[in-house]
Amino acid sequence: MSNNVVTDKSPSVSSDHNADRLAVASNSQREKSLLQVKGLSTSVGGLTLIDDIDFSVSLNQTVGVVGESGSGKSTLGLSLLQLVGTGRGQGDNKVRYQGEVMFDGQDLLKMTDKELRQIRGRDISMILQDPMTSLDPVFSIGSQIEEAIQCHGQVSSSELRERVLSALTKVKITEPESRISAFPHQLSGGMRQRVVGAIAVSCAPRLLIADEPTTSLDATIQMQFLQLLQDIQSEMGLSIVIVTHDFGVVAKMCHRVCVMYGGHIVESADVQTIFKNPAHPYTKALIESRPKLHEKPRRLASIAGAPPKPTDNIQGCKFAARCPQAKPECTQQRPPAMDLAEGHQVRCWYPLSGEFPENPLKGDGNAN
Amino acid sequence: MFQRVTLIIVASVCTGLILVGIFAPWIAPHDPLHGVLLDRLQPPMWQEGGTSDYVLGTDRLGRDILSRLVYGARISLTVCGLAILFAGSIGSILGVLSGYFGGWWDAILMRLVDLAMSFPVILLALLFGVIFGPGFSNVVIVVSLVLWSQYARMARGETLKIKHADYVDLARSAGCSTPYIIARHIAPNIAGPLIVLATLQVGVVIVLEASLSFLGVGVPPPTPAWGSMIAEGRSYIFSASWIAIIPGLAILLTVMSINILGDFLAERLNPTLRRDVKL
Amino acid sequence: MSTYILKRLSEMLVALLLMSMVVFVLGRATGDPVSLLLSDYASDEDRARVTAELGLDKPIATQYVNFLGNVLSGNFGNSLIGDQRPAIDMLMERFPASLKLAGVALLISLSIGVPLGVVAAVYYGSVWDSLARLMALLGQSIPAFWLGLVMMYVFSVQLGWFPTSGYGQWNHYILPALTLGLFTTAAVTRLIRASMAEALSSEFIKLNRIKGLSEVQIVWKHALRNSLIPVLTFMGTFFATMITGAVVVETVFSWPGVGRLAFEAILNRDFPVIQAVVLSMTALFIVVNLLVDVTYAWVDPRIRLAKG
Repeated sequence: MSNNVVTDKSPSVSSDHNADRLAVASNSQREKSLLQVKGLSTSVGGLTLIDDIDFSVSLNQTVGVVGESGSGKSTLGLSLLQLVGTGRGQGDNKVRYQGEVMFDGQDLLKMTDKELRQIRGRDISMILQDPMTSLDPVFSIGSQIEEAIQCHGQVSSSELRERVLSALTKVKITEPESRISAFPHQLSGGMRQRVVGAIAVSCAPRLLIADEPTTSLDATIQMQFLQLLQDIQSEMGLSIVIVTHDFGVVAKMCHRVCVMYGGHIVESADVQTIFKNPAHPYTKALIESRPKLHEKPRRLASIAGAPPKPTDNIQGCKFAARCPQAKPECTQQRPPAMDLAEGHQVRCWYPLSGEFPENPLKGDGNAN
Repeated sequence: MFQRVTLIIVASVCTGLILVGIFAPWIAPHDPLHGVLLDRLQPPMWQEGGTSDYVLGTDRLGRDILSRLVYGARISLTVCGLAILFAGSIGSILGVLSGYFGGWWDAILMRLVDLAMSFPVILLALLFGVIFGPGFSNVVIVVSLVLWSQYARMARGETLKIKHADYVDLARSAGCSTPYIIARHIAPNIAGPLIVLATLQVGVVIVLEASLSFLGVGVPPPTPAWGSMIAEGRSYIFSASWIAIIPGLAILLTVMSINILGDFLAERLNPTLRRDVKL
Repeated sequence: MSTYILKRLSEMLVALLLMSMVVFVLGRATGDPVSLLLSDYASDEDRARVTAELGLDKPIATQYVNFLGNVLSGNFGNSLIGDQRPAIDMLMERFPASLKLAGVALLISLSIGVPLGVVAAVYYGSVWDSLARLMALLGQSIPAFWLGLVMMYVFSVQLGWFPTSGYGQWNHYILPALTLGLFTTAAVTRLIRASMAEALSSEFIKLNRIKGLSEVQIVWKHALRNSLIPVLTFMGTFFATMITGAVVVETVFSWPGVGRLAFEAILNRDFPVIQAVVLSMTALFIVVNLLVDVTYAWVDPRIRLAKG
């Protein structure tokens, strides 16, 4: 369990680190994948929240899942650990998962609850969006970290304390000895999120899912926290899935990006391709709608209309209603995820770059 | 489907009860106050020795239990209506003023509310009962003393929520008088939850009134209150159990129906309670 | 922490003072105590003597202070009935029986109400949930005094399992404690179910699942401890419900407790005894509330560690 802990301190300067990151990114296709999701669907009470999700995460890689609120991106993060909903649903309200979530060669969806609990926290961990509510208010932060360690094996009390301190040190909490007995309400939002981070890394997981980890933090704290995640990643060698609506976060953190819309991944590619060469009209609109620092402020482009809800019954492409390029046939049949190039998938009948290899909607299949 | 059937049954019980209360003199087959002593302690008609003349039997003075139940509904509903109206309006007004103006008055009122909400009512009721003797108006006063605090707390909370809503601020800056703002903008917006509270309290009041009558500090005999009917039947529980059991069933049926209806209303008006899975 | 307790204590004392004023004023309103004590044929001198003895010739404020002093030293006056014993003696004599009954009822309601409420919240919409809702509905809808009579009719008269009334043996406890218990079990079930449901849908529970904690730990350690906080705030109200229930249930089962004493005193218009019961129950109520506050602070670090 603890053999994954990397003890050597590798001071990482941001620029060096970026270089590392790019190197990893270019190699990522050849590397062994840690997590491979195939055809994952999550539904509750007959409503499909996310549908037919395919993506994979390699060792040391950071994958971003981007989308508007309601696109299903948080559901995707929680589905990996099968923790959607409150766990209180009965009968029809039970949350159902279909497909395959292969982690290190094992399908998480086929595991028993007990096996799954062994994976949670130890191999795959997660940081939630709101640090103000994600810690138990009536237990000290020390005991909350202890629990995370203890439920994955017996440790002596001195080792336990050692590991709690080292987890707090890893997330750069100053004076960890005195913080152990603190209660969540005594800490600021940024500090609490670090504690959540400490819980997440306390068992040296191989995959960290971060669900909008910085959304509810102050802007200055946001950057610190992202930097912290990167430092932890290079120190411990873990893979990260980061769920966000912020392309700034994507640009800073990610090697690969999955863009979500209406419960589907509509486009996935490496980070450069997404920014320079988006193929899905939705991706393009999203990128254009973000304010740019070095450009003259023009009118902020926005996408007309609202994203679909799980209750909407849409036959064709989910984005067709808001798509500037939509053709009548787009509303008839839903586009499948197709490879546009090596490592670049898109769900669109008329992608903006490249060519859809076999488009059944275009009579001769080889127009243009 | 099941829920709908329940709802229909429950709603018809409640409507039926109100109708029975209103038209008691036409429905009751006998005089509720004067019995025929020769017919005393007759069992209900389905028991051996019962007659269809007295469907639910008679009590120790030969009074028809059905007729007394019917008039009892009237008593229960009147106490309920008056107490809730009384407590509801006073509590709500105090709450709104307290929420709207705040200050030391608010602090004092809230202490009083805390006290009233947790105080064992029965003690107060007993004091009142002993000093002023049992009586209809005493019951209404005691029950109101119990109820007002919840309205005050809710009205205050709701007022605080909308006190600085845009439309209220707008009305204020447009020069509307405070009484006008409260009557026109605050009151209609806080009425909903208060009405739900009132429905939820009907059941509580009926049980409370019955308990007071049972203890002899409620509506005094020979007025046929459900609680005092049970009290009278208490010493006959071995020989003529129906005298005590039947009025209790009436209370149970009524209060259960009202509670189900109240819960339904509360759930309807507060949809956040229903959301189980966060999307 | 200590300032918090002190603040609550002072609030409670104000409440007790208020109640004593109410009792004092109402006591004066019942009529002239002198004529209650003396026969109609007493002479004017006797009257004057008794009035002076009772201190009724003094100003009203002095009378109140005297009254308060008497009450604080446990002197509530003598009963007007029978051999006119001191009201406080009658009260203390009855108190243990009430305490035992309430204790058993509390035990029943906690041992049924807490698990049922928890299971109902965890298995939302299941059979247990329906059972909990039914329980809560029945507890709200059945008048306790009637339930007592029905239990007596079914289990004593028809089945002959338990005695109808009496005090001393274990089987005397069953029916009264169940009757009083249903009432409070319903309240506990309702509260636990609602606050557990809220606690279970919170984010920190999700994080605990992410940590890999077992459901047992999540439900019984984290969710329950958090859901006890809102429940504790209701304990004062809960205790008040107990007192109300006790008066009614003790009356039905002729239980020799304080509740029945109160009922008898009402029947006899025995004001000193009523006064003793009301004021001592108020005092007890205040003590219980204080204990609740201390427990509350102990459970919730946000209060325990608050400054000022």
